[in-house]
Amino acid sequence: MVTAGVDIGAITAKAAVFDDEGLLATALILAGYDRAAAALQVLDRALAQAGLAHEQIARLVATGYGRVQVAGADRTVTEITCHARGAHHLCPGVHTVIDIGGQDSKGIAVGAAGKVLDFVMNDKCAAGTGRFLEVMAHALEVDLVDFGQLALAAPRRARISSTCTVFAESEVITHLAAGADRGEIIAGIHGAIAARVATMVGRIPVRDRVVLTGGVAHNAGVARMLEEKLGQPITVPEHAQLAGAIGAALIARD
Amino acid sequence: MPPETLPTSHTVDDVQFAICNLQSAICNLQSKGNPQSTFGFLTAYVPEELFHAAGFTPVFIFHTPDDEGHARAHLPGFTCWVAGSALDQALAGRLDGLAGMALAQTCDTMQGLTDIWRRNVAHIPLFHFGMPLRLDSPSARVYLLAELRSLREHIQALTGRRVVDDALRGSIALYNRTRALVRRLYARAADFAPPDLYALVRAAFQTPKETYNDHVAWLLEQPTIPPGREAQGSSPRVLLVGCGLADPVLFDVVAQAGGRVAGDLLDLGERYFDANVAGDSPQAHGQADSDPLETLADRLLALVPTPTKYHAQSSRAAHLLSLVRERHADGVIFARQKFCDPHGFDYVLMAQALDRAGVPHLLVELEQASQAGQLRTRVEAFMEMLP
Repeated sequence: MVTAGVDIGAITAKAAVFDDEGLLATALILAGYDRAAAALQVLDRALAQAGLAHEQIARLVATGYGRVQVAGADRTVTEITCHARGAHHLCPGVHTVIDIGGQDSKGIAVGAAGKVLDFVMNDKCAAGTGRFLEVMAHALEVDLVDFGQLALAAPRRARISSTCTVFAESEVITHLAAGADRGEIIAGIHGAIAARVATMVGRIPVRDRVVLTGGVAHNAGVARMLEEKLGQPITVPEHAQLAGAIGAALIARD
Repeated sequence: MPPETLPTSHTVDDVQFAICNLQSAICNLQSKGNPQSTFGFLTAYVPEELFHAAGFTPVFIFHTPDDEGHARAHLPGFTCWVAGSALDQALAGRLDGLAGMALAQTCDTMQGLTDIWRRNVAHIPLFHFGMPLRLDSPSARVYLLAELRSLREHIQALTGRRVVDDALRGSIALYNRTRALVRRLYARAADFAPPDLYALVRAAFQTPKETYNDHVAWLLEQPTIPPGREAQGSSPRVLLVGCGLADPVLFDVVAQAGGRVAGDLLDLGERYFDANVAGDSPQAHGQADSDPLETLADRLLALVPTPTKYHAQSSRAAHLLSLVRERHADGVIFARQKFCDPHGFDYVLMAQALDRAGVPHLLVELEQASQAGQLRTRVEAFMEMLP
């Protein structure tokens, strides 16, 4: 049976296609303003990669903030449940999932078979999310792809005390005005996001194995600094950003 | 017997029919009623019956979405919308039709609002009612009785209307009937779609009780509605804990997530209509030899306390756990207004009690500007998590 999961997030749209043997294909595009169109497009891409047609999908599950805009979905499931299921598939034995996406961050306590036992989620402020990193990278004129490595390469971390994106940006400007090294500021920014997420995740039991998912998982600086803050090793699976779509496709199969 | 305005055979959904009639009654009161017959109130401890016995219709002042920002000159930004919106409406002139406004002492915000109101909304007289903090102290009843007598004298002096014992007994009997009807609604809460339950209970705070009682009694007599629980399949049943019924968004979100509201421990919800006091029946308070003020005092002291009050023998957590069992609730959602300290402190103790009992719970924070997207994700994920 072919199943598919589509995850429409704040910034990207993801799709995953499974058959009985396992993962067949994945796709990822920018979600843009037309979420319904993005859902169709990202699913088309994944299907093309798998050499399948829409009609061959037995069940489709939609997740993410735009889940209700996915045409043809048999069911909608929250990204919290899907990330837990996806992380369980990607990293068997996971007990804690930290999902840092473009708009929010979540901590999920995971039980047997990837079932959610408890979760915490950031409030509507952008601190501790991918948006925070985007704003800071823009302010410092750094490509987002290089952001994490620059943070790890810095010998020291500038102090960024505010957890608010807007106030933190003004702190960054103060540091720049004082002639602080850009790398150290970048390291400070990563420390701030890690501290924010670690504090939030501390409200649920954090137990080994801890898995990082969502787009920010690809930022090695955040992952390393989160390890420091939590005092636990963190696993970043290959398909970290696709964990929600993969979980959705697996729930469709279940 | 159905009210005269209602047909005896039904071609539309009975619940929607009753809600529609109640909403019409509210609109009618606002637009056509005698402007000096309506009395506004806030907080969960105002003895509405005293105002009713003086010939007024007490109406809770719910927040409205069209905030004009007037209150921001007087209240800090973290103030809850209950206080902020009432003051905003008053300063915008939208409450000018009220004969007065009543507030009972609960939290610091409401206490502060009393002074702000008197300075800035002087044309709407404010009646402050000193509800004691400790409900179990020996002097609480003495103090409360003195406050009730003082409130009665204040009403009489300011409005020129007498509040005689017989009229007060009649008002208590009327309100007891409302409370009994709302309790019957809540006993079947999970049978109603959550937005319908919200509309029916909220109307009890806004509709003249005479009208409310007729419509809800009629509704509860209908054999076909609401549908039995079996019809709802395996919908998760949740209890809501928090301040009030200010915003329907949570009820809507629970419904969209496929859940049912099986009851609540909202300050202005099920507990407001509770009657865990001996003799609180429609007949009991009609007894000619009883002091109606004593009856009112006993009832206020016996209510499940809000987080702003203390009662050593009346644990909110124990009450919540008992409600979980009674209504077969699958989980509890704490709906806290952002920055509300009393409910913030209360949450910790309640959450610990639920953890010990193995009852899943979720905390959501609400602000005046609803964040339905995030709220929906949280509530849906909670529902998916329930066993």
